[in-house]
Amino acid sequence: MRPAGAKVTQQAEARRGIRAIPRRALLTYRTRHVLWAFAFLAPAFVLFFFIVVYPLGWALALSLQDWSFFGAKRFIGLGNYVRLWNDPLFWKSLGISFKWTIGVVPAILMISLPLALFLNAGWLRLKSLYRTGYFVPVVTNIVAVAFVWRWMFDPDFGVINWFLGVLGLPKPGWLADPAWALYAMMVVGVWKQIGQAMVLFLAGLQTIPQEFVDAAKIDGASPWKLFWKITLPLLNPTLLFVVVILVINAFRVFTIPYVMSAGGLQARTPGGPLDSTRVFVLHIYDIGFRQFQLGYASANAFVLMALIIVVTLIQIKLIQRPFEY
Amino acid sequence: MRWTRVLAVVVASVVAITVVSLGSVMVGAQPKVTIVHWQHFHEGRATALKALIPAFQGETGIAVVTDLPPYEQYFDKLLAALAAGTGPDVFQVPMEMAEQLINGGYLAPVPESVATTAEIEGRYLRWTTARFKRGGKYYGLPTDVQHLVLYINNDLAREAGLDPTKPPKTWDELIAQARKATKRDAQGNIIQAGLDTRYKWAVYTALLYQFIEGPVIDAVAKRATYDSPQGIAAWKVVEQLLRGPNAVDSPRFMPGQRKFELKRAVFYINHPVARSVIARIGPDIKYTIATVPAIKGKRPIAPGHHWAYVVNARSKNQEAAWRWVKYLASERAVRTWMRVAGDLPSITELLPAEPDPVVRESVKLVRPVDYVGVCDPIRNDLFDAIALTTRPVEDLVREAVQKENTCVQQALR
Repeated sequence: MRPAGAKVTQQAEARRGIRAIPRRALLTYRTRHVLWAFAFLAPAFVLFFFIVVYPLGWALALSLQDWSFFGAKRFIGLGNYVRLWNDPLFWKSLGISFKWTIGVVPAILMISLPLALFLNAGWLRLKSLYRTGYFVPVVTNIVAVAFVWRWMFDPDFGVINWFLGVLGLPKPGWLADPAWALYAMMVVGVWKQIGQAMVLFLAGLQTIPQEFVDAAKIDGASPWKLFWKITLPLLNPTLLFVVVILVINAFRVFTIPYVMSAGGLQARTPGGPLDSTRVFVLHIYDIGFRQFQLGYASANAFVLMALIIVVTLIQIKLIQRPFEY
Repeated sequence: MRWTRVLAVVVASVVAITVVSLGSVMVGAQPKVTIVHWQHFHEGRATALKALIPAFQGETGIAVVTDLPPYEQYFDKLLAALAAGTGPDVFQVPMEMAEQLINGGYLAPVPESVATTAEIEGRYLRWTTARFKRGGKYYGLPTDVQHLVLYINNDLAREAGLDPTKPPKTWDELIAQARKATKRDAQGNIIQAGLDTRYKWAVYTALLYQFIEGPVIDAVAKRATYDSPQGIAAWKVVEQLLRGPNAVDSPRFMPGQRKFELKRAVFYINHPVARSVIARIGPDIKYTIATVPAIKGKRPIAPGHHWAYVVNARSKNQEAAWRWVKYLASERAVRTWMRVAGDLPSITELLPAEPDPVVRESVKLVRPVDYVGVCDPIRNDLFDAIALTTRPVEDLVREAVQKENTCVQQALR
């Protein structure tokens, strides 16, 4: 039974020419809301499924098979994983990737953080110019850059050895010498990524409230203490993000060692000389696309993925410091 | 009303297009066939290929689209495409991949309508087709036929007190002359190589196929034989060339650069096709071509290598693709390959057309290489290891042979 008041209201609305909206009880507002959300997300989900989930699943299945491309696939279970455990090249390339990570990531942090502090200083003029200058390597084509660096590291005609000669220092063989090649490439890896880390640190620094800095200064904190007690703790989320990104990049490095060891007309094996720059992704590439052992290459790729996940989780555990003033 | 008009226009357009299309089919207009052709980039051969396409298209109406990736990326791209079923109609493969590709079912045989077995066997040098024959059928026609020769920079040789008209006949002579021609700075660093060893494959292949009398790769036993005493002797020559204070070249001297073409090396072992590169990079270099040195007291041997044009078994235009391949291996095309790229002829009758007498005569000395699969990097690394480490050659060779055996077994399984 409808209340009398409601009838009056309906009549009043009818007089004003407003039609009553029929109520649909099929879907609640919340359900419709969720459905719309999924509708908008659907293109991204579909794309993600086809370009990430499906290939990942396919690669996982491939890692359990022996497929040399030229013959039929054969299911071998964990055979590829057992094989890599006994493969000295697997361990060697893994070691080189760790060496790269341990060398490149701290170097970038040690250069980019002071650089960001410097470029964030209130007294500095022409900030935009400096920031752009340091960011240029990030947006430069890595293949072209790697070629240029290769020429700079040329033992006979390279500008680096020319400077060393001027200073009376010994001239290493750089990329032609197994003892030096990786270090030469690491220099390029550091140079390429400083700008990216610097920009992230700058963004982090600009989120630190000025009140904290001012309060510390009034309390007589020295610049060093200000950095350790205020800046660094409040920069922790950025630091964590930068470290995680850099470590992932380090484990995934490919272009620099590939181009610098084998690009152009060198007629050399990628990762050379004598596998001294065979980083892990190059190892996977070599197995997959040079030796055509796609099943074994997939197994190596999954090990890399697992490794990156584990290392990232360890970093989060070690570096993350929930901090509040 | 408005929508009705739009709908009417759309329907009318669809009907008109359908009628025109059907009409063109009925009057006999055929869709144009397009062949996709891949081969790795090489300065001289790319120019020759560009010259051949218009004539073929004009004669047959078959369009040819080419893709010439750099050598370093060629196999990555080709094999990934073949695995994905999106490979080109026609592509170029080296002789050592013949077994893998035929066994894998990736290649289509030459149809009798394009070339009969008798025609192929009567026309081409036997060794340039042998590895692409299976079950009485041919799966490829030869291209990029090469053997190894020795290049000598006349001016640099004379400067070193050598006579380029009297090239080294034996490996001992080559080592002695190359040592004489090697220049060093005050610190002992090489500033002019006696022998350009950038093309490692050429150096060790020239040695292995002279020193080892039997197969270098035993396809029946599926193993490499260069750890035999003869093989070790061959690698010991590499040691003489690259190790110690008397080395005639070094991996750290102009790494990755063409030392001979840049007038920084006196001797160079390469294929006749290198003539086109020298003409482009060092057009003013006056050079002599000689037969590769021999072992003292033995007849010289010029290891021979070739590639082949093949047709993808999944190609929808196999007939047209084979017509294109046949054209590329035809007498007219081979003359273009010879003239523009500096290739050796694959057709027996064209041998007299080779202008250089040494290149021409060296064909009689050819021993085709028997490498299997893509195992060159193993030997290249062995070459580097001899140059860059002090480990005994025997140990390095033994390790390399183990790797090569695995590689060969993988290729021939």
